Amino acid sequence: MPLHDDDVLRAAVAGVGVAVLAACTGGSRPSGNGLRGDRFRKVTGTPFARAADANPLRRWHEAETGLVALYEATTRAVPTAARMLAPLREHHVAHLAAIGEKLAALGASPSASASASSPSPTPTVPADATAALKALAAAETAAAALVVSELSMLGDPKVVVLAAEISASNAQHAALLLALPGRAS
Amino acid sequence: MTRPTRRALLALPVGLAVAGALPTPALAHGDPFANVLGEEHAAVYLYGIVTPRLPAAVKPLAREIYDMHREHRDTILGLITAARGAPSPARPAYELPLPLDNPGGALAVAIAIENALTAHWRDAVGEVEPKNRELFARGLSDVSVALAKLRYASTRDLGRSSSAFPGRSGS
Repeated sequence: MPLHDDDVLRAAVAGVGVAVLAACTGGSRPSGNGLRGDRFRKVTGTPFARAADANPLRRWHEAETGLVALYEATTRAVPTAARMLAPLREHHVAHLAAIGEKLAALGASPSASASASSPSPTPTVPADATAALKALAAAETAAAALVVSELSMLGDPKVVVLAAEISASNAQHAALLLALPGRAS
Repeated sequence: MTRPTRRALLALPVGLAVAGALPTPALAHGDPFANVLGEEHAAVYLYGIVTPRLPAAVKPLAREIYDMHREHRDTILGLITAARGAPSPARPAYELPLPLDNPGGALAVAIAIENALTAHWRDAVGEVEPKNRELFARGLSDVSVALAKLRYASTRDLGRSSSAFPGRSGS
């Protein structure tokens, strides 16, 4: 039985959805009065504040892992899109490596995620190329939003920049996937 | 790929005076708000020149991007003004980063503008106070998406149109 579009989208964003929910429970949200971050960095640039970055980094790692799995499932379901999607998947592999480096610098590992005990659902991808690429775009958008939602709680400005880069990269992917003429059909 | 020449995008506002909210009365040149504002001023000006010379199929996209830059400029202006700062006005003119001798040249100019902007928004997001990070991250996303769409219009290749870390040198 063919999947309804809504079902496909729900399945596609399930992985990052778990991480989004986890994000709602993590960290404190500092505030400030000025435009610049100089004074704030004097407070947050401490080892304690930077160590708190491990939890959002783990959630992003989980979301990016889910995206890699979704790209692989999409490639299996829509082989004609494989070549086109390969570089985007590689971007997510690069995101995972960069996040892993930040975690390692904090002495943390990706597997300590609060939701790691709940196995990620296997991505469900329709054979129809248009629906499959629409689901990928939705997952990219959800992952981009997850990262942006956690920026204010981060302690290390370098992690802030990495997060913004990853979010922007995922937003690029979503926009391109939605703009494809015929969407690889 | 190296970053494009930024001869056209050197409109860095100086002397951004902010009273009350900041310990110093004026922010210079390296201030992230002033830097991004200067770049957005330049982009608004340059799209006015570039858009009529773009291939017809790209003009609607360029108009959307132009509107986005106006919105960015106004948002940053509003934030500076709300903090009782004195934003620098736009310059009378900005130099093009590349020649505009054919429709392909115009597209290359638009790509160069967005490429420079991604670098500035990316650098700024790590400098601003936490409450403004989301705004700057969304700014980076906006210009990164604009860059990706323009590159796709030029290359028709997803991999060459996007990058893993937009705004980084060589991305």
